[in-house]
Amino acid sequence: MASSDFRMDVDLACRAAEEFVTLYYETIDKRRRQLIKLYMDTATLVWNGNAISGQAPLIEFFEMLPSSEFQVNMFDCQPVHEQATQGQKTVLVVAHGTVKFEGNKQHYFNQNFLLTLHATPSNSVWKIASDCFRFQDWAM
Amino acid sequence: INFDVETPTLLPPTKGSYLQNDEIKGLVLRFLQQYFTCYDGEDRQGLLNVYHDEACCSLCIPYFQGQNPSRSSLGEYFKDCRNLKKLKDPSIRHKLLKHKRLNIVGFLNELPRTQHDLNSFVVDITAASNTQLCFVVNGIFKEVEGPSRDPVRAFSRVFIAVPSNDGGMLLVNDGIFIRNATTEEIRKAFATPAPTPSSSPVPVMAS
Repeated sequence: MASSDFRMDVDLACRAAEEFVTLYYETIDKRRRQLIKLYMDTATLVWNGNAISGQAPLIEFFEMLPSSEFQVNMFDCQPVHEQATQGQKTVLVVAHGTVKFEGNKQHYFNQNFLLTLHATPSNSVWKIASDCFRFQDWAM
Repeated sequence: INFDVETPTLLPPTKGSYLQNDEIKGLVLRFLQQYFTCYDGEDRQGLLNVYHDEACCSLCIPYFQGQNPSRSSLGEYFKDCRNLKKLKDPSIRHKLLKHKRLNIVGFLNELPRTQHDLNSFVVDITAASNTQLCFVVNGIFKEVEGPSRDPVRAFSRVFIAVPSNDGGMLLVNDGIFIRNATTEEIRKAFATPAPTPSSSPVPVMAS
């Protein structure tokens, strides 16, 4: 990969990550039913060690998850090397912050996403290919 | 008068490591054992063998409103912290993303010497295919030299690996997150595991 290509990949990753983080946490807090649209049909979520795969199980999971108030304090991203993705543009996004689920105490959390770019005839959209969520104080 | 519109308040139970299947579990746990043995050694140069030529690596620490992180106890990591929520300048964003094997290992070698508690590791394998393996490791380490006395930290690292020619794997992405350990985590860390009955939870790395 030429270094100018790499710079462009980093800039693209940063723009995608920035918009994604804002959109994702607003959607999970305020428009939970829309959240599934951000995931690929084949996406996998590992939520505090519970693995959920595919559209219908994810919809069911998000429905029974109590309503949330997320606060993101930090996020970072990296372009994922094309050898790992067979050339499909992919971004690794890492987020950290606090979350208060209704009826539960506040937790710190870490969340890692792999976002992939999908081209359609009219435009291209980023979708979540995998999602890994963990409370950071889970051992307490 | 009652209406049946109660909102859910029950969270799914928190579980330990998610390791997909025995084959991938074996591969990942062997890799982590080797990786952190080298990482905890005198010299981290040996890690040159596990990073892809074009790999990326970056580090973050938590950010708290109103706190000056450079004065926090995580201060030594602050200069490398790539928090995109705070850093808007593209040139700084580029600078803090370590790119290429030599730069990454050089960067890792500058970080404090460590001892990781392999028994504390919780590992989630989030994507596995013929071309990539993505896994997240949460755990505890202590710094074994440095200005403060053996501070205990918690970390979360996300690794993306591709198969290497020799049948092992090469890291293409490494995202490091470091925070201070909680009192409870400090209490439990590095406890010598007594022989436990098989019914009790088995630490992931113990096998």
